[in-house]
Amino acid sequence: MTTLPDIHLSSPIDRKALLAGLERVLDPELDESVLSLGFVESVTGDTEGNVTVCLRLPTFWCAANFSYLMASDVRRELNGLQGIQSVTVKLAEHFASREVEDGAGPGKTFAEAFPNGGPDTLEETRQIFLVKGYFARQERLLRALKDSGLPFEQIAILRIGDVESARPEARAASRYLERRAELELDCSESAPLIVDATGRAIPAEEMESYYIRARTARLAMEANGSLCSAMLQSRNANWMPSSS
Amino acid sequence: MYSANGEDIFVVDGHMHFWDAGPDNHRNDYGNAWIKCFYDYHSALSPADYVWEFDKYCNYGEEALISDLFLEGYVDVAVLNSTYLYEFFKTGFNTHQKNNVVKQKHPDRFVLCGSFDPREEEAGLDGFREMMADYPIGGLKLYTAEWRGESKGWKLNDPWAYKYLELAQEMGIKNVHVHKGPTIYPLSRDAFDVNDVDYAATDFPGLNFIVEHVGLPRLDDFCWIATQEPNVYAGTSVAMAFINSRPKYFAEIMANLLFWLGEDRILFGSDYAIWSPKWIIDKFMGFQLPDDIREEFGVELTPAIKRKIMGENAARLYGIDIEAHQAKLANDDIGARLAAAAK
Repeated sequence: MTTLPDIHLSSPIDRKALLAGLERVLDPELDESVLSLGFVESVTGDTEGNVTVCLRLPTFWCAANFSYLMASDVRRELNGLQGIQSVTVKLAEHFASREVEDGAGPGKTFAEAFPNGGPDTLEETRQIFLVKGYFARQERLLRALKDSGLPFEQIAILRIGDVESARPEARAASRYLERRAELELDCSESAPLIVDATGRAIPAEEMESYYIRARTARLAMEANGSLCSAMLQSRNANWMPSSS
Repeated sequence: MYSANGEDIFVVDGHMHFWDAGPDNHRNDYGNAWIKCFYDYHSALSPADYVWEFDKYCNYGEEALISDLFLEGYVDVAVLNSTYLYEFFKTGFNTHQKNNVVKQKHPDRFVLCGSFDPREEEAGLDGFREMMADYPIGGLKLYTAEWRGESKGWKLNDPWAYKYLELAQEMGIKNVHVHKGPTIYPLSRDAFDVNDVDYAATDFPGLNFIVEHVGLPRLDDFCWIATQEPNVYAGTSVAMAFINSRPKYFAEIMANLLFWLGEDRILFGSDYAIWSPKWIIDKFMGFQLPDDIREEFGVELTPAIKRKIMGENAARLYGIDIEAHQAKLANDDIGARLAAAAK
């Protein structure tokens, strides 16, 4: 069950565009939108177009690097939208609330926000999880193709242009291709459908073992997402009984 | 001991705690935030009948522990973790000194874990030797995410960690439990990174590394490492608790562990008092892998494999002769209480 954020917006802000912006902000570790995960507690916007987004994560201890990425991405996605003059990100009851709020909002680098022991930027972390998410999305597509009756040898010769005629679950295909484009891999119609994160086509004889590895990557993300949702619900019910 | 169909199953709880997290012991708000977060884990995955009041959860005491593990919870031997967290708790969260009090009362029921912190460097080596000499330390529990002053964590392959591992091995340690689950601070590129286990397991082939919480949320990375390192084991606490409300994910996690590691390298753990062993074991012993998962992964979870996971694998690591040990347990005070209750 997703908890919808508490939203109070004044007119010049386009509510639909704002929600679409938040929908694009992913928890990098779970590869799901912060909105559908219920991590956005509230959104307020005044008549001047100043927006404040309050995030509440499943635990007080959620890793600072992922929290920072989410807060930075909220700012990046909402800045410049119609009617929005400024974006402030709050992080409710978190061990690094102050560092994240003072850093991610104004757009500081991670090292500036966390001078004691963090890496300079989070780009490497972001990339690792974009790739993990790529495998997870690819596994869902592979599973859909497999369930539609295609053997691995045939999946190996599919081109992107064949994906519709192969009729896998449409959402699995579009989510996979979306991430593939983000990784700047060849997305032309004639490109092989299943390539690894470096763009190498997977040969027929490797397809099953490739699928088996992708399956574990997908499970790690999904099981973790499931735990995070349970934790957020539990956190809200235990300590904020009136709002659960 | 879990008994079903006339068969007795030896149970080793590979991961449990005896903590004091009451308000008097909080050093600061972090202590309070810590136990509240643990309570969220507890209430998120426990069946409703097993959810405690928060006050009890903070400091449940010795009698609850004995009852929940041994009298009600089927456990024969429990591996007592030591987690210090002096930055959050005045007298520590569950130190080996405090754990040893209950170990002394029931010596055959507990394996006592000690620990080290490589950030103490040279100065800590003598303290480690003293701990080994003064306490009946059966294994180590390492908590790489622990805060210490400005530092928010360390890695198993730090040079000083290697010095401590060498010393531990010289002093007879065989089993090293490594917490690789939810951690907190961004010391490295990824606070949940399990790669340091890979280095340590390669460089210390004589030690067994039990990765607690199967590296969740890095189950995939954990599986790749464990596939390559024969001395890496899956500690299944947290994953086990999925069995109640998320049986599909539980089945998939179990199938993955059986597929990548095999039936000899998976250890049961309840993470008590986060979760009580009784309900987990009741559900696990009755659990069947769904047919589609069995077929897809080509693995089985037979009664013989369940016996290994519940206790035989851990008994092998800790050198416990199950039959001889059962005879001892039948005659200790808890054995007597169990016998009296069975009459």
